[in-house]
Amino acid sequence: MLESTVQAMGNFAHFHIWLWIMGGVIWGLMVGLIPGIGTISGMALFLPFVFKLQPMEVLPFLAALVAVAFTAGSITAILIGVPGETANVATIFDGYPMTQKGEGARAIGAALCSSVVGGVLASLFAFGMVFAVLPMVMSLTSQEMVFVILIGVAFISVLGKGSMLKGLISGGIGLLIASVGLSSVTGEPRFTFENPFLYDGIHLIPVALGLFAVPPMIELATKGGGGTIAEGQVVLTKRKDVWKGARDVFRHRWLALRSILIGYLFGVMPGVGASAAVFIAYGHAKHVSKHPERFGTGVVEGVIAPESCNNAKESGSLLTTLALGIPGSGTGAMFLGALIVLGFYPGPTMLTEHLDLSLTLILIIAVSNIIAAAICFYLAPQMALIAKTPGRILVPLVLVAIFIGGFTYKGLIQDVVVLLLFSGIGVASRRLGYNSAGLFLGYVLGEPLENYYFVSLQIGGPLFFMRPIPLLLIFALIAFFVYTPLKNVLKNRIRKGAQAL
Amino acid sequence: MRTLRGSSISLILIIAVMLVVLALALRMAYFATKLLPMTIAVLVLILAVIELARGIKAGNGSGAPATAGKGKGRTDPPVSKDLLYLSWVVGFFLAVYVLGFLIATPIFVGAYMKRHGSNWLASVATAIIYTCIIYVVFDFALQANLYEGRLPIWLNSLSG
Repeated sequence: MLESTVQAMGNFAHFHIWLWIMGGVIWGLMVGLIPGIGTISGMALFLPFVFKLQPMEVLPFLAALVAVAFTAGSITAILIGVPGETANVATIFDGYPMTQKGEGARAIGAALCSSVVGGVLASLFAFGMVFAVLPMVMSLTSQEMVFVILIGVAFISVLGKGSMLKGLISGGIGLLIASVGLSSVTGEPRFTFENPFLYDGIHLIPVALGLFAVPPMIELATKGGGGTIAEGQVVLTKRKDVWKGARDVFRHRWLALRSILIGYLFGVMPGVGASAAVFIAYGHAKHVSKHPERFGTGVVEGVIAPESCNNAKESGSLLTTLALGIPGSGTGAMFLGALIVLGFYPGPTMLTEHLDLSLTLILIIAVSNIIAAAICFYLAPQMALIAKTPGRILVPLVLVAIFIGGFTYKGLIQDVVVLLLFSGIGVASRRLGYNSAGLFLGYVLGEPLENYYFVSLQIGGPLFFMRPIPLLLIFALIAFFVYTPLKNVLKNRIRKGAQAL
Repeated sequence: MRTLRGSSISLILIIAVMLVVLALALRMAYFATKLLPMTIAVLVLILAVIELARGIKAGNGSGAPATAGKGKGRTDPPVSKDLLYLSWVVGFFLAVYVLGFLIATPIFVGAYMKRHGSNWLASVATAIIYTCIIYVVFDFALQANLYEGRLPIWLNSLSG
């Protein structure tokens, strides 16, 4: 473990790692700034290049991107009142009023400092947690991994937006899509219709681009592609107040620490997106404040809580993605997809054979937050102008880049057809309440699930799940699905009983 | 009502696809090959039927009771707008298929910008500059060999 730690830190001695981290930071800031693109789309746009690059180029880039997108989104949230990411919505409640009161610089300083503190502390905590989690992960065998994957797919399918059943249907469809091609167990073709293109299965890049990159562009176009995304002037007076805002974070250090803890814990939990975590952090800040009535009028605590939380979340999410293969959100699912494409399967190997890589990625989150904050401290007003890029320019340029990305992955026009098909599925999912992240995760984890399942059958026979941990996981799965409907039934009965009285 | 109908149609489509998947899976030679698709298809089929039944029972156009409280508060643009912009995407694909990326890109970018309020100069300039960037980055620097299009390939075969 010490050797891996030293190796992880030694990776930072290579200059090219810093280049890729900077690239990820800059790209992450850009996609975080522009409402309508977002982290997932930003990752999807980069995925076509994964095959052409080395793992120690791709993964630092993606880790840096994920780490800083929320930081950039806070700038537009504060200065223009438009969130760059959904996780920045809570920042608007007090951040934008602070700008309107002439305290925009202070809000920016508080947001950036909170982001750095949240990202760095959570990363260091995740770094330490790796060694605590390692024995547990090492004890997981194929039998346990079957149910770990099922829980991951189920949670992320169910806890997203839309109905629970539609979420599960989405996850199931994803698992089915993964079965297209030659079976990894028997070699028999499945659902290929004797088309050589399908023997290799449905490729990941076009699926990711279609599900996550095209629908936001369609949504952006339908919301008024002819005008600017963000109206209003970028007002930033008294720039030196940026440092006053940074000092505010240390003045409210206990609030920041509690928000970081909320973010980290929600990051560990699969299926709970950053937007839920930041609202809980904001609500907590208001609850413990001596003057809760001032929230919404422009108080700095209303900026510190959500911004500490959203950056801390990514460290927790990364750890569970690496250790268990259960991503905390759609962003994590994309990261998981990139890992699998590069030949890294999440689970025990990531914390044993590739421990140095895992530790490097966690440290990159900390480093990226610091770099992003340094850039944003000086360039915040200029960066906010990027959010005012007209949709009529942004949409066609990004769509062209998406299509080129889908094609250049393997040089096959059929992949572009797949991209088109999944674009339709992605748009329909958003509109009809299905869960694209659940579908994508089912697709990514379908093959490992089947492999673990058949290995489990070979080792333990049909009753392979009769072991303590699988039984516990099965119980957790059943309890999870029974709890919500049961709670609703009991609540209705109590309400009817009360009405009868 | 429109939302419920769209949701119900999607569920009916899913049920139909699952039945096809089951039929195809039954014809597979090895049990190990068909096990996972059949298991998942049956589960998805059951879930889809339950959700369809719930949606029909709810019947007031809210798109099934379970959606209440999740993803709420957003007013969706009409379906026709989604279809309109998807048709732009399909149109771009067809242009790429016939003409190739380097010809389809400036046409698409310029047409989109002009249609949505940009003036001729901005549309044409952006289209040309962006296409040049695409060519330099992908064809020249990355040697990605962008798709040439059926028409140029056919014309090349005639001349060559």
